[in-house]
Amino acid sequence: MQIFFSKATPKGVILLICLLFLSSFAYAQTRILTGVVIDEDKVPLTGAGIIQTGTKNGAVADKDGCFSMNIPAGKKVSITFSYIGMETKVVIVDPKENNIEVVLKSDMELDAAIINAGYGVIQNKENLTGSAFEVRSEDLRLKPSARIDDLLVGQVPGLNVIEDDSTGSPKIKIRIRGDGSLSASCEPLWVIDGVPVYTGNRTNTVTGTSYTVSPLSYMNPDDIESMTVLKDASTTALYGADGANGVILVTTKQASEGRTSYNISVKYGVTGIARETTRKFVTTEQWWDLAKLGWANSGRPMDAFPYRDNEHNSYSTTSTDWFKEYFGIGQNTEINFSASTGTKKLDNFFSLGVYFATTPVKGVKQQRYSLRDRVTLKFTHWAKAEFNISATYNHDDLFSVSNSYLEVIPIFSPYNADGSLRLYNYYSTSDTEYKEQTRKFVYNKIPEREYNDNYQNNIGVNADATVTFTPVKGLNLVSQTGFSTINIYEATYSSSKTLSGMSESGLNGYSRRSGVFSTVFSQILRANYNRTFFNRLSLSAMAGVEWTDKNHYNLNATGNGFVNDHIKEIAYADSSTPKGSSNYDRTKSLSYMAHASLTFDKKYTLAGSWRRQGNSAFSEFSRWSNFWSVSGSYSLHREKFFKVPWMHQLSFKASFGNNGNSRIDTSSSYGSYSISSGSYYGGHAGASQSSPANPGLSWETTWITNVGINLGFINRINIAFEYYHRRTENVLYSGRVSSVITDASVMRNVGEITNNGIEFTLDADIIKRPNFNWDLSINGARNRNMITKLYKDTYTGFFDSIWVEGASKDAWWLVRWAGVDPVTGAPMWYDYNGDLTYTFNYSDRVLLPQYTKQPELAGGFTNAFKIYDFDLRIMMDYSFGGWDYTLNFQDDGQNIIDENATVEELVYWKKPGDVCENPKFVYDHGTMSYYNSTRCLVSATYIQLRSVSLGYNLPSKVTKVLRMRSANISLIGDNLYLWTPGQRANKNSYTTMKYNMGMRRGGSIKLAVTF
Amino acid sequence: MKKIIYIILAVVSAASCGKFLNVEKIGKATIDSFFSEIGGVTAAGEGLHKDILTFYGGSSGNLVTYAETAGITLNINTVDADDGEKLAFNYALRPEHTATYPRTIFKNGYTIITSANTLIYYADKFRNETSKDSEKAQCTLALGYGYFARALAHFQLCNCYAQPYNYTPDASHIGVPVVPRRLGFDDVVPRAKVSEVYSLVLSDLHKALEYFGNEDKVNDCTHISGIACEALLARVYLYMGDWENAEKYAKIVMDKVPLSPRSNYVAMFRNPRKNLGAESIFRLDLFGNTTAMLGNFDPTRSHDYYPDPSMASIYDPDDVRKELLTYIAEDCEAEEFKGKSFPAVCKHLPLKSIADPDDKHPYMFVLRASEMYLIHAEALTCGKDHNLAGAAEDIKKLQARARGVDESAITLTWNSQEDMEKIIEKERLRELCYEGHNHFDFLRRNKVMTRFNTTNSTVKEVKYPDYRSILPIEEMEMRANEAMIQNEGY
Repeated sequence: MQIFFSKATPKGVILLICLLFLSSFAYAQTRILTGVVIDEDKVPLTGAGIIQTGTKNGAVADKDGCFSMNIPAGKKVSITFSYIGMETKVVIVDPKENNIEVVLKSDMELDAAIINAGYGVIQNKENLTGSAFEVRSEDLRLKPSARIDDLLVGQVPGLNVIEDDSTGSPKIKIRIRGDGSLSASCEPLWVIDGVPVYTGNRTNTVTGTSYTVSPLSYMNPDDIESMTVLKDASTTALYGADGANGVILVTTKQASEGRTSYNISVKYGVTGIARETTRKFVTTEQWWDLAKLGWANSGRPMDAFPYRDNEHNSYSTTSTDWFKEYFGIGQNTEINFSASTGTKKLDNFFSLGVYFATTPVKGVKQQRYSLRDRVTLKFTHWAKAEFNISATYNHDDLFSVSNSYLEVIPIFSPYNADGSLRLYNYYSTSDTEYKEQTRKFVYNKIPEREYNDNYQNNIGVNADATVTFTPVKGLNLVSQTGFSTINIYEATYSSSKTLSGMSESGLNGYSRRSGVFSTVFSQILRANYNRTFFNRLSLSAMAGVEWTDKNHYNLNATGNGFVNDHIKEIAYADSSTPKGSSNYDRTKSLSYMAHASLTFDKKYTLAGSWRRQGNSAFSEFSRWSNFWSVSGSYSLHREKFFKVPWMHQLSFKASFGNNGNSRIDTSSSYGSYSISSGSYYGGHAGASQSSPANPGLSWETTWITNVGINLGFINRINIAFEYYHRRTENVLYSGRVSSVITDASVMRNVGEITNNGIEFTLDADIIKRPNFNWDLSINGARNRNMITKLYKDTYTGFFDSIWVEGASKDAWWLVRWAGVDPVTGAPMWYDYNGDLTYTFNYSDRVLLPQYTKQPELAGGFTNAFKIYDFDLRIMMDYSFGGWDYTLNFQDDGQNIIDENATVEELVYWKKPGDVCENPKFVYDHGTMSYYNSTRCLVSATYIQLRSVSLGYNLPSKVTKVLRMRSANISLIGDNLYLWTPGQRANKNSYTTMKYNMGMRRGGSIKLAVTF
Repeated sequence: MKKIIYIILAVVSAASCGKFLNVEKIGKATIDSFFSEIGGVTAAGEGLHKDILTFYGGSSGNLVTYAETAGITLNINTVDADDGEKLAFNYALRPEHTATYPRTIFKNGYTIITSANTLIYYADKFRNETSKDSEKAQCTLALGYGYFARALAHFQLCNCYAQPYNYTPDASHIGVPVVPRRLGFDDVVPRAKVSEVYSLVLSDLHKALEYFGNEDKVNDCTHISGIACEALLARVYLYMGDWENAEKYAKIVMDKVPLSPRSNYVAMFRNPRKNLGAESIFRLDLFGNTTAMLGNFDPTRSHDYYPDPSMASIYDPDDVRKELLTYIAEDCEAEEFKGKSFPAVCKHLPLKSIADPDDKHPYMFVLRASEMYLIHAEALTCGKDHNLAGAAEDIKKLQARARGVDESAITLTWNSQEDMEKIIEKERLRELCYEGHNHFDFLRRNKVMTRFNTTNSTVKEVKYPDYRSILPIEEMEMRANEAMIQNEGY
């Protein structure tokens, strides 16, 4: 952004400086200014032109990039530096400065002023009509490398990365400008170098495997040059039926002509769980007290208390910290090598990367080997071909530890006295007398971690070949053939040494093997025309056709009954047990598209896009749909009459148009009859209608209005505001029609949802000195959604939320908690009518618009400092307002005998007259006091210190000796701190709830060398 | 030049676009492709039986438990019974109780009708298209299944959601939606008059009978047959008060289907797979679907109901049917139960000692011959000749069989038609209890339902008419179907 500002320096300011300069010239006193001109890799720029701005006074850099020139003394002097292939830079020299170092950025960096919207459509950022946000490699390169979606946390206004770690391997959901759908997917489309990639089904789950490893973890983040998030209609209409949830374009690195460089980077890091962010539980002694109290209060005789030391369990001496059993320190190592070279005939970028990580969850590992080659062959000035191939091999070891680990009581040990892993505990389960029994210890997952297998291997290949002809200047005829495939082999095995692998029939050991083969093939033919006429009128146009063909195959086999745990393959399972299955899905799509934009005098831009798309998923009646957008922008600051010296930018933009969402379960359009055991009659194969035919079913259409304003002040501060209104109509609502027609919930295009929101970004170059830069960037967004229409009067109620007309789908739907009766210690609620009640009833749930999941404002901010050779980046993300909901804080003794208690449970009603937040503490009280009521709501406000990185660039003197172009060492801290307003030392709060398993804190060191 | 080539390419592709987008969905049989082979028709016929099973007793909230819960035969286990069962027992069901009877019966009933309509449509189509006689025959059978099932579902839905046929003189009061064809999502189907429902039921049964042709015996009582059509006709005419036809069809069936002997009576219920019973006309094979009924009635586990204690007193001491009210835990059962006896509805509880697990599941009765004797008796009593002696003959046959004595040893005394009606009422209770008749027997005869004084319901008596005697249309249906009208009182 900073480049952009300097480019846009108003002429008036420069003139003013020149005038000042001229007026002082009469009394000319000069001094000598020396310095060095280098590029970003510290390479001297021999022959760089240095000129005192607005004069003929100048110099040329020598072979070391050094220069010396006379300049007026006692004044600030403006000097312009230029070099072919580099961006021209103006530097104001302070009267006291005699030696300066000037770094020029390469032309490629000028791309920063350009937004690539895909399909060869580019727009100048200044004249951008729509909403596109670009995150460049410098904002990505020091982030955790496990997966590419996680890189975007806090970086893009209106893009919300939702991390769910309730199992061992985190799942990530991405929402751009809220949920635009009820039943279709709300996930954005990912396009890597022009080829859409498979990221899972509607909910990002990989169809065919038992456990999902996100395909977005298969890519090496180090290969990414930039990620562009397209949010409004003018940018997404070109993606037609897949654009409704936004589009994320990933552009990989490429070589540029005339430069050869080699980069090696090594990164090593450790991660652990920040203990203060895990749920807080009582101590073992406190648990004993609570358990006995709860037992006694329930009226059960104390001599029937279930836990007594016996020959198998020594309860009184056991105090297990289950956290330590499951979590430890994870380590990750990453080595990347890339080579980039460019000649007149050929550019080549090659990279190799390996990434090994163990996570804080013991038993979870990730390995990635990736290679990529991107070669451009420039045959003639009118023909070139580009071939871009990447291949990755991934091995993931998984271990699913659900958050139920939190609730296992501390007096159980994961081990037997002899050190072997424990499968059984021995205690009484009778309410009236002590009668010891053998109980399966299913919550001890450690045997499963130690003995069971759960791994996946994937080979992923993305390849695309682009041939470009330029028959006349400005016209490119492009054929782009893309191919993306993932091949997953998943193996799980439950050992005979674990409860999950034991079978009553004696056929121990359970093995499952699955394969998933997913391919996306795409072919685009397009013509792009970019030309500027009369130096004032820029035309950019595109017309094209796209075919895509997505295939997804999966198959699996299971078997059990193995001789021993070393033989896990189904070929050797007991012959009566193997079962297998396979499935296949294919979707084809064909689209015609066109785009044109016209910019006059860099002031007025008008753009339009159109796409007509057909999709095989829909039946013939609704197969085709049209998507289009119109947009415009106006740069007021370029008008002659605009004379606000402290503003360098004031521009407006607006867009309107539509796109669609075809990521639905498409079997619903045809209706199906299926043979299933559920329809068997008397043992005979029976069939019934599994879904009725719905030939009119079609895709959802989202209409997006987007308006924005960009403000630039004093060449340093840039502020952008956007407002959007997304209205999704024909929302697929799996709802009921009359049971007379069918009892199955049917998908119909009947609903309507709106999402309204604002977004802002602020970029400020707070300090901009040769040896001290401070850039600040802040973004924030707020979204509100509303279901404006559903089918007739229907609603769909869930456990704690409801889809109903006129309400947000994000509002909580709970029974209102009314506290504790001081007389009896009984829990109280308000019933549906607002009257006090002593019984919990789900039918008393009410919609609570004041408690919504959506924050008032959420986003991130980054401070970037550059002080001499040091870089410091501090990135935080935040969310203000919004409510989350937990069932896990306390249950008032309900399960105290079987489950651990949180620290909250130490406070409870004791005697009549006590005014207390928590009811009487009784085991098995059955009052449902902990069921879904407003008692469980927790404010979800937080500020999180996501990452801090400190980098040091070795001085050029040193690197020269080492024959390096540059060398850089960085220290990185991830997730250093999480703050929430309710956090207290001895209390649970959103801090201990935001991450089910606790926040993963990491530290790493990275060394990067360029030759 | 190249541009021109691309334009040509684009035009060519446009011309072939339709073809490009045609993808055969493998693994998901579209309805058309499913019925494109005869296997689809036969499988759908089996599936239709499964739908009937679900409606009758395969799932919770089924027709049979409703008919008994709303009647006098059961007491409820207040610990284990769910809310829906308690509400039904205490006549407190409301439209908002969408998890139980008001919804389950409605949806399961119309599921049968949807399946039947689909089967009728495709079986008819296939029959016209195929040239193979064997396939034609299978389609004919499927058509018979379809029409019978459609009639049965309409008839039972009308019993549950509408006042009885004789509530108005011409049965012009509100019934249930009549669905004589496949529906699309945008069809709006209002409730028809009860007379219209019955007219569809009758015409469907007669049509089904044509497809089955004249059968002289039941070949496979687990599937719908021509005799099942005749038997159901007898019942429908009885409900309509068309005594002449009720008598006629009951007699037709009685002549074709014998009564099971006394020796086989209990086994017919408790070891059904090996003893389907000579008198069985149509019973539902719950193979693989035992949970709903066992959960309702098995006294050795969490169960919802047990017989009202007074039920034992309605039988003579030597009546074999009484045995079906007492469950004696077998040797193979848990130590704590072994040898103990519990009051239980054994009609739905197959013996646990049956060796072959495939045999160990109940077969619920839809129609059996003894009902025909009772219909016949009632039709004779109420018919224009008021043939009370003829009716007594029918009743004696049932009693003699149950007690293992000769008909001549049975004495029945009556002084009036009313006496005979009471005898028949009592005999229906003895013979058909727990088979899904009880509540409707009160309703169709416009009688006050008076429970035994041993009932544990809060409702001891329900007069006729009473809005609570029929189910409300559940709330979700009211919302989703703008043409739907709620039953009066709800």
